Amino acid sequence: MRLAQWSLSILLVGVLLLLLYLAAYPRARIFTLDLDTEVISFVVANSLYSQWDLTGTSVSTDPFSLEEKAIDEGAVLMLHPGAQVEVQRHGVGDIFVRLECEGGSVGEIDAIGGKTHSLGSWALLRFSPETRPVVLSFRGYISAGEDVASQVDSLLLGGSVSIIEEKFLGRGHYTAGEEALDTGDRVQLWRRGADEGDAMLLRSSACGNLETVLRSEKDSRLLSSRVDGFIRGEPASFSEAVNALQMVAHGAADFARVERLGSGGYDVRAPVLYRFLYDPMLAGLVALLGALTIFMELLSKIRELSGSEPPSGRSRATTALRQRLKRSNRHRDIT
Amino acid sequence: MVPKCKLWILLLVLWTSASPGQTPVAKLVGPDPNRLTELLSDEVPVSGRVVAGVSISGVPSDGGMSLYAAADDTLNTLCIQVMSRDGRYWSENEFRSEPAGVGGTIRVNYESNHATDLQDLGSDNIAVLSFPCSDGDPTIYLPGLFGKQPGGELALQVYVNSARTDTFLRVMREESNETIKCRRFTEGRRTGYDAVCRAPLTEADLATRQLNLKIYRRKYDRSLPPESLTVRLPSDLSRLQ
Repeated sequence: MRLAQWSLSILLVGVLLLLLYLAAYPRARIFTLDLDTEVISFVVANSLYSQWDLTGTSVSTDPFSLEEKAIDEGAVLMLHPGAQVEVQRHGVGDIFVRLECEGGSVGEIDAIGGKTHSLGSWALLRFSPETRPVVLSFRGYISAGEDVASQVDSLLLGGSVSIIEEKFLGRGHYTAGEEALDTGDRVQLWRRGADEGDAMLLRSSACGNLETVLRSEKDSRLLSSRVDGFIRGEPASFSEAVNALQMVAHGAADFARVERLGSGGYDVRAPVLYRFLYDPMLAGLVALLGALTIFMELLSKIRELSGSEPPSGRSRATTALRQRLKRSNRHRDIT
Repeated sequence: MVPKCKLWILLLVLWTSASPGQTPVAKLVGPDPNRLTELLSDEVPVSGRVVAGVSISGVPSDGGMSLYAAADDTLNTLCIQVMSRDGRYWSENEFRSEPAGVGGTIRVNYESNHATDLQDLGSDNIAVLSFPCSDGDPTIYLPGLFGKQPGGELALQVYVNSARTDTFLRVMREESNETIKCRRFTEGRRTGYDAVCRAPLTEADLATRQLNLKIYRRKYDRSLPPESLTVRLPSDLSRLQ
């Protein structure tokens, strides 16, 4: 009995330790930003995912001149890694895309017929969607919305940050939290450490020192998180055109930082509680822990009961002898 | 007799301003001469000024506040505004000082109740805007130094509330003009200001004692009115480093 109880105790402690280890084990978390916004900024991480059709677009290449030049039908913009992009739109008006690359070229425009026009360190594109929506895909380091401040007129309108976390076993995922964003919020994704792609961009970008743009000033271990996403703008000709810009982006991150007017801002993280609720491995271990605890309690009760021991064979014989003597004495008194 | 008196006063002023090693200290005179008018809060009225601060980087400093001014600038009181990038700290006070010496340096007796908070903010997160007080908008700015900073390349830094525009600083020198792209801050709250324009200083700049600047802002398809400013400079690089 005692041995069984000891074995159970060791098993219980083992399960508890495993549970704590699994609860603290780092896992891949995919953050999803689903936003309606008037302004989005990002730094291009990869040219292949950032090629845009420039049909019906005009370009301005001198920041001191308001002159714009129409771009040929079918031309494609190839953005260079490290280029800083800001996309802005009010209502269902024109979509402005500001491109910047300190000391380098923001990208090049490839026209039909093989003509290539390289852009300088600054450019402004104007998309005027008439019948079809504009969709701009990208891979980069994002910042959505702007702080509410003097003369700032382009803001985030609303949306959400949701977190998908991977299960410990298998390839499944579960939703590990969702946070709604208010109008005027500003959101950035952060992760600890840089992977190979980040390190290569920081090392080899022709667009100045990206460390000052992508690395956190407060904690140098934090780097802006790389996401894949797209921006969509509907033309005014749609019967119920969605205002401003819609943006969806997914990427691995440790947390999302939300800046909000009137507060010091806050972080959106995946709470550990969700692992216990949605990861079958952890949920199973919690159930096992509960079962073991109940079993331990049962054993303990049984041991307690066995503490009031039944009479042994010798004492039983003594009791029988006493009863017989009592009976014979009574018989003698009668006679 | 009267002209002789004036001459003596002038000589005294010149001697004071020419004496090396004697740094005048600006003392608080208003609005409350006993304590700084300052606020550290989440809800702060934010100034709509384009120029949020002017400072010189690369000058080793062990803390405190100082600024560079010409002798004429101290005839009136000095207005000093301090603002954090996130807009949570704000102060606006008037100081009075003796004329600055040859180097142009004036120490400011800035005794803040939030000294520890300000120290924690670090460089680029706090901007000092100093100018001779006047009725209208200031056009002459006195670059300030605030808090600890290491030595390095001498540069003028103009902190700008750009309204999230593309901002450029044009440095106008006699021989040629130089246009510099301002860097926008990307992290954290930027209610106070959001960009810094950094213009490296040469010995020729210091010799002229001042620099004329123009800030251009482009907001997508329109240009905002440019902002002109004159910044006083210290006279001698060797006195700073």
